[in-house]
Amino acid sequence: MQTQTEPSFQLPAQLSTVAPEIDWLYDFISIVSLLFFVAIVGAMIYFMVKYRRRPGVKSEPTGHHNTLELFWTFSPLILLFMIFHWGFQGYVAMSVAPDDALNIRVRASQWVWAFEHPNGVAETGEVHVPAGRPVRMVLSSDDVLHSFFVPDFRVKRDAVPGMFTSLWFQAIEPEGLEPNADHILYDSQVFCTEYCGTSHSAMLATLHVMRSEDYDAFLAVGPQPPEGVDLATWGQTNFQRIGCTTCHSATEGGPTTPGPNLFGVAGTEVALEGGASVTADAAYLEHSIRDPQAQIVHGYTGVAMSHFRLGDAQIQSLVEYISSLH
Amino acid sequence: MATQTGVAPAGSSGAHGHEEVDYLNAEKGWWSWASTVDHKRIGIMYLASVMTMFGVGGFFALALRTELLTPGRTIMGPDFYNQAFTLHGAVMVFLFIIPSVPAALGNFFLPIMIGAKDVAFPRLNLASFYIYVFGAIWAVASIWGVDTGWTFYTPYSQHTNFAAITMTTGAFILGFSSILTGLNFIATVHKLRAPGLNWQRLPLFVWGIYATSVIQVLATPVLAITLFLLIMERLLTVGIFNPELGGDPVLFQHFFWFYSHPAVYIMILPGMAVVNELIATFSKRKIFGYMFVAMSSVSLALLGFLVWGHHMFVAGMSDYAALVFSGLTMLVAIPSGVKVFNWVATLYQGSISFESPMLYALAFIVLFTIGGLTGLYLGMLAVDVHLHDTYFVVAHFHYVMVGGTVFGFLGGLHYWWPKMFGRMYDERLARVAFTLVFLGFNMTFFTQFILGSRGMPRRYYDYLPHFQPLHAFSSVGAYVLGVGFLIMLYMFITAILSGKKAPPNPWGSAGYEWMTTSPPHPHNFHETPVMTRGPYDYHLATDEELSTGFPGETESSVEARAAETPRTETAKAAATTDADDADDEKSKDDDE
Repeated sequence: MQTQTEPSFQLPAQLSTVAPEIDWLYDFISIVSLLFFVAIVGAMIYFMVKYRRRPGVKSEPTGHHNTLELFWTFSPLILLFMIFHWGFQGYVAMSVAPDDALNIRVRASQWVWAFEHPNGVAETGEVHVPAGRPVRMVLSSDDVLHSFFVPDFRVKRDAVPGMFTSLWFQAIEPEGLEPNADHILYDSQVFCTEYCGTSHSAMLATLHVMRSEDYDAFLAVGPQPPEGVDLATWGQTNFQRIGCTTCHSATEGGPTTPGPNLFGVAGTEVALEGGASVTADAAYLEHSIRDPQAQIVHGYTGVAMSHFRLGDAQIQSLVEYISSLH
Repeated sequence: MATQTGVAPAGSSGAHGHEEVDYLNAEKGWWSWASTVDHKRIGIMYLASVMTMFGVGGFFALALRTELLTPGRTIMGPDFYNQAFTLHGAVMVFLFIIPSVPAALGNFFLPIMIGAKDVAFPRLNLASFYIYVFGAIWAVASIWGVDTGWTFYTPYSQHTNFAAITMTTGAFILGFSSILTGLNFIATVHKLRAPGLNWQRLPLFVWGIYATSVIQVLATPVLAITLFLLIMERLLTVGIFNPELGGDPVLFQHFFWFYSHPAVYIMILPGMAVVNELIATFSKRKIFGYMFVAMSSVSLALLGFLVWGHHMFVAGMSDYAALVFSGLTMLVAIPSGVKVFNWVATLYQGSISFESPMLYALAFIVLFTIGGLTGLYLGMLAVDVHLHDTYFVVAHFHYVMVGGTVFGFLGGLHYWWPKMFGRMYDERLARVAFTLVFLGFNMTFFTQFILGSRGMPRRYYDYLPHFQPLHAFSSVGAYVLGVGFLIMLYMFITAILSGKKAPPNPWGSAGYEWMTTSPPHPHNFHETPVMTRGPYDYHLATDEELSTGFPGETESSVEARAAETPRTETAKAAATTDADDADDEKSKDDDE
């Protein structure tokens, strides 16, 4: 089967090993459906024209035709069984991950996807995965139902609080495609598809697909700023991608949000819950990212920050970025 | 006499100069409506209620589509959007579709179609209506602020604001109305059929409503139990569905769909039931494979109980359970197919005319076929994984529920309008409205199949920019649909105020419900009718019964027929004996 690396009119690009198989089934049902639709509606229109009411012509009394009835009652069973059988085969193949699959932990919470690689390297709102190797995503949820959906890979699974679920895929490496400066072959979109509240539609993530050897190199150091980008600028990118903007403004007089506006905070004296106050230096900012509930700014009790999983370099970049907001 | 006309001539009252007495004018004043036990008046009150709810749900649908014209904020914030789609879904499902055909049209026509004076328990019927009204007011009053979607999935519905619990209480109350109506109809069909009306002659509308009632009685208690458990968990913190308390959120989905999947058949079976009547009347032919069609309703009702798991293929359910549910889901295609094939076969060698009710019936076949076939994609496990919870599901659901149930309901409303109100509507306006509704519906929802297969998730306030062209096109379709409904509303209002007087049988149907005056007498028939032929036996019906029609039902021909009908009635009445006259006078006395 030829793999389509560009989206078609109906379906996204086929960027996993199972995608061509799923699409073949999709096309098969489309053809069956089209045939039935044309036959049914065609016959209907033909009869509508041929037997339209005309003067002096009466309708014929309805007869019986048990053979015909039994034929169209039972003959579709053959087609239905084929559809069922192939659908189940594909489903089982998608459910059972190969033994040598790489395990990545996915923690869903309102409204953030956090990832942890086998060696502990953590990411939020984005995840790097190798091409050409099976990857199993082990899902859990900290609050309500979420669902991990990658249209390019044709995979989806709910993240259910109180239990583990999983899905697996093997991303392909399209022929002739060279990685970019950050060693990334291509990006695929992750959606949350189980309704989870206010920012459900903003609960997105990006899958960065890399060559296997580039992925191993990535795991050794964790997320690093791209070539030629300074820490504060990378921090701004991270701030957006992680989803900090859902709860924090970063502009002067920005809209009221669940978390404090971070514009101009760095270096000032901040009043804390309980009467104390603290200077918002780099150490305080880092502490507040790593342990948001430890020192709560006055007036912001009862709002828990989402569970972020970030590398040290990313946290430093965020501190740099927040410090630069003046 | 009954042997000649097939049905005892209840309509003959027209000749005696007291045709003015009908169920609408028999009693006056609001109290006569509020305290009525007449199934026809209760049906009209349901009709007014469900149409109001349809307006509310439709208004919010248009608000949603307007928000989705552009990515980012268009007219509302995310929280309001989430409340709006919850309101649209919950109002349309619980307050409009479920009671639409059974409670409104079913209440009015089921007793007439079986030749009965009323339903088996008229007072219970009125009680069902008041429970519905109470539940509707409760639900609508508490729905402001509910943002869970109409499915109330846990644990979100346990975390979000308390309105979710008062809203589910509303659904709990509405459930009782549904159960009591179902019980009433089952008893009515079993016990009150007119002499000669055996099960092989039962109108297919009655078969459909009967199957629906069976599901209502069996499935709705499960919803009540589920919602009750949800309320108990919230109030008493008993761990049932909430994992923080040791509960299981997937269990809620099992319970919820154990009701809500059969509920989908509560919604679609009555729509199919109406279409049977329309196709038979407008092609002047008995439905092909009558018993197969009747039994397909019953088997859909039973199969509907066994397929709830197909809503949960990616929800963390066992793979073996998915196997079983997928297999059973495939079987649903069989009775659905049987119905469609038999409807098309009925057209063969018919004498087909295309008045507005028939247009809705033919559109139903087209749209339901699309809705049914796209169900195959979703029943097939591997493909469902990709399509689940995307716009593809939204489109499939709307093709079945709107293209199916709502088109069936509207077809029935047009068809029976002259009988219910004794007045004709403007056929030309009806066709304009139909065209806009059909066009707008397909623009809105066919687009959503493509959105979904391309990966657009449902219940999204915001979307990635590359989805915009399709979203905008879908929204424009929704406006066209909205304009169509407004024209229809105008048409029905003018019909009540200034429509031409309707003859007893404007469509030339052989159905039993047309064998009485329009609008019907408070007791439906002056004397118990005796059925000597089936409701679709056009070859056995006399010309007097059918008042010969001719294609392209023009206004002049309706008028001509309206002028003609009393004459045939007079001729018929002249042939009756004095004893009949005495009977008529007597029953008139009884009425007063």
